Amino acid sequence: MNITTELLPIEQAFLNLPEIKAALMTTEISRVNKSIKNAQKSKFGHTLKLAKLVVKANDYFESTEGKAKFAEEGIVWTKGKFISTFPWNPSFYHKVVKVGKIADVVVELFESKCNEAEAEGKEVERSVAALIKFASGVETEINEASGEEEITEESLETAELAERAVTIFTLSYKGENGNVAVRVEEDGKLITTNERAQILDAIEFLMSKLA
Amino acid sequence: MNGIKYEITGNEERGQVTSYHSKPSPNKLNYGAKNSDIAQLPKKHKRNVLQFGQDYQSKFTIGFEVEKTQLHRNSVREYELFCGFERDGSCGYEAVTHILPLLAPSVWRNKVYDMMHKASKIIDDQYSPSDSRCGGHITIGCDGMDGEELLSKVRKFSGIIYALYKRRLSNHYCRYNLGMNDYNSRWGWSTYNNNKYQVALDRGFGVEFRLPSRFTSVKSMMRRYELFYELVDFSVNNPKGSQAKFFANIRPIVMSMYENDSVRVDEVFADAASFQKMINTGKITSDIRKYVDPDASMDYRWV
Repeated sequence: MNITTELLPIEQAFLNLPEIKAALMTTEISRVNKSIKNAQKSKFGHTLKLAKLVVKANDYFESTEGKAKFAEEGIVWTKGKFISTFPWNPSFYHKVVKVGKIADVVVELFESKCNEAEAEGKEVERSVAALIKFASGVETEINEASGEEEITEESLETAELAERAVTIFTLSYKGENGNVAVRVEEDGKLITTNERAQILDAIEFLMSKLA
Repeated sequence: MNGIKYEITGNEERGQVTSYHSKPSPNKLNYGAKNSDIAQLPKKHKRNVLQFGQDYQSKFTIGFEVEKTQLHRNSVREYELFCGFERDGSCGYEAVTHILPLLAPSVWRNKVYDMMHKASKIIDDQYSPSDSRCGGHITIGCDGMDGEELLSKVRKFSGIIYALYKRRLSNHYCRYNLGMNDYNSRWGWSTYNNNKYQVALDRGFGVEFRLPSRFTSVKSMMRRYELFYELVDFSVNNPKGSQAKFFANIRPIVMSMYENDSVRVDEVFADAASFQKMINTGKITSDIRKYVDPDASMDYRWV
């Protein structure tokens, strides 16, 4: 059984005593834990497949062809409304789309790293969030290697902080579609990394509270 | 779901076929929308929505008359869309809508279209058939305007309506007052200038376009709704706008009507320009003579 904590040789020997093994159910626990790990692996595999499908659906909604079809059928939907037709919360939807857009080679690298870690007895998180974080790190390395400076949300904000003019309007919203942050400076400049649809959802929420 | 909800009234008479002009009166469904219904409207279309406290009213309204030779069995009941059914001497049956809000694409419009969708067994020919005896009258209104004023505005851009339904110009029930003029200026079959069988009739509260042909599907109703929104919006808010700009605005709708056949659509717009010239000047060009003057009784107007 892989153990997460370091044991002295005497302690390991104690645990390997048949009587102790039976009492502590170590074999059964190990078997079930392996099943859980396999199930997580399988679930992650299904999630990767799901992500590719969701990206196709997302792309259709945003495509010219998709927009024309919606118009032909007389349907007007915001992005938020479209997302609500899926059986997950918007936060998971956005993560799944991000995963679906990660290059296959990066996904393979992530899975390879997970397999290596598992073989070494380490705990591994095969999840959407972990893959996104891993992919982000890989992209940073690639960009650094190519000599380009990666424009991240953090660096953008840092650069802007350095030159920030007087802010005359701010909007901050923790919504179902993700966090929204909008700032308007006195020179009229709009600062945000959110999509227009997300900002409109935030404004709609504010208006509903004022109504 | 937030916002305005369209529901049946429970009035049994609305779900029965009555005799001519005996159906219950239409309700005004263009009142009572909420912020969530119009929040995503672009600014230039929000001007067509009036606010009263926390409620919204559409500035423009529209109503449809759906004429059919038969109504689908077991489908005659109250619908959110219709104020009632009645027998119609020219065709058989007529389903008349309530007074609907006439809107740009929005959550509110989704709800109007949903009413059409729910009434598909009355509107779609595959369930309730129609033939060439049936028409599809469309009545429009604008808050703050009577029919005469609205007619004077929309006539500047109504050539497209003539072009789309030009074959109906031979129909006695909808071919008079070809110039969409007021009583004193009317021309064309002058002995009938005061009758109601005009292309577009001043109803006092609005304008009834009698020219449009029968409704054969929910989609055709949607396309006409969209076309008339553009017509009223442009006529009221951009009266000095050019015909070219108006045609550009409505081209996607007309393309959808003609299954993206751009050749046919170009012909429709060419006809629309000729019909508009006729409306504006009283002059009839050769390309539209066969529709408006088949017996050459107005050859003095030919150019």
